[in-house]
Amino acid sequence: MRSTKRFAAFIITIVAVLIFGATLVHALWYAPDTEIAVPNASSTPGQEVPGADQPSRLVIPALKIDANVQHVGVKADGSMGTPNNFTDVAWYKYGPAPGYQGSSVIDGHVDNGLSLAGVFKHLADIKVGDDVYVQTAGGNMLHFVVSDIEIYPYKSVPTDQIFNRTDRARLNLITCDGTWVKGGDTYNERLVVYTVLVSG
Amino acid sequence: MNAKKFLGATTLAFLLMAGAAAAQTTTTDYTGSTTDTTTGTGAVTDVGTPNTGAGGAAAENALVLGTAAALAIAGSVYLARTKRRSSAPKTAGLAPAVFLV
Repeated sequence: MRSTKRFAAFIITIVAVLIFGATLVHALWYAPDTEIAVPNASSTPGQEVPGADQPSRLVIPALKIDANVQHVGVKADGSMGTPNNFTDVAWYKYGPAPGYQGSSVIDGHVDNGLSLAGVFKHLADIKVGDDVYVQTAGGNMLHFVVSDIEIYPYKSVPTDQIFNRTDRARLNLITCDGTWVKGGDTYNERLVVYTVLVSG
Repeated sequence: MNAKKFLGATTLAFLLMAGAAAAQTTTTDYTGSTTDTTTGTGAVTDVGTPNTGAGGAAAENALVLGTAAALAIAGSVYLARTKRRSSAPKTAGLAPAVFLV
């Protein structure tokens, strides 16, 4: 009888340890993405982006950000993918690459599952005129300057403008802002930083 | 701790944890204008805005972490105590009888 109880206690203890570990990793380091495959999709119609021109690092000196750039597509709900951790940023690979015609989009987490700072926690502190750099996989450094900063309600974000393909070479940075929407499992605003290419 | 009480408490705690975990896995609300579509040239032309925050789930995550930690500690203590009891020398229980003799 005692051995049965001990065995049950052992199993419960092991399960509790596993749940603790999985929750801790999920909350602090790993943000799994449910990205879906889009058949035959490319970044720009009729214009493949060479690997050397794809972004590899994002540098924002004013915010002390120097982050690795992941490449993401779309999630099952149709939204842009997000980095699978809280320290990297992610480039929307089905849109223009930084430096190409149109608006390239990079997103990053504002916080993690324990409310600790994500890579874009202080993105709201950036100012018009601040410098933003993107290093490509080929080593080229693209220089952008912040031209506008906007906050939108999360259900009325002008996606046509943010993901514009015909505009001049822009880089738009996006993250969450506002307060948590309990039922929606997201924040109620989006912060968008618009930048324009000045050299590179 | 009584074994029955321990099992009862752990079951209750697991139910609480399951509830918190279920609350965490609610489907993300679609925040964009339309779902993705592909043009003839194969480019995704319409995409929703990303969900780039997880801080709102901090309370649920903290609850799960706290409950799991409490369970793990309680389980470890129970296992350690029962092990000590079972491995203790059997002569210890005979000590009063020795005094009587």
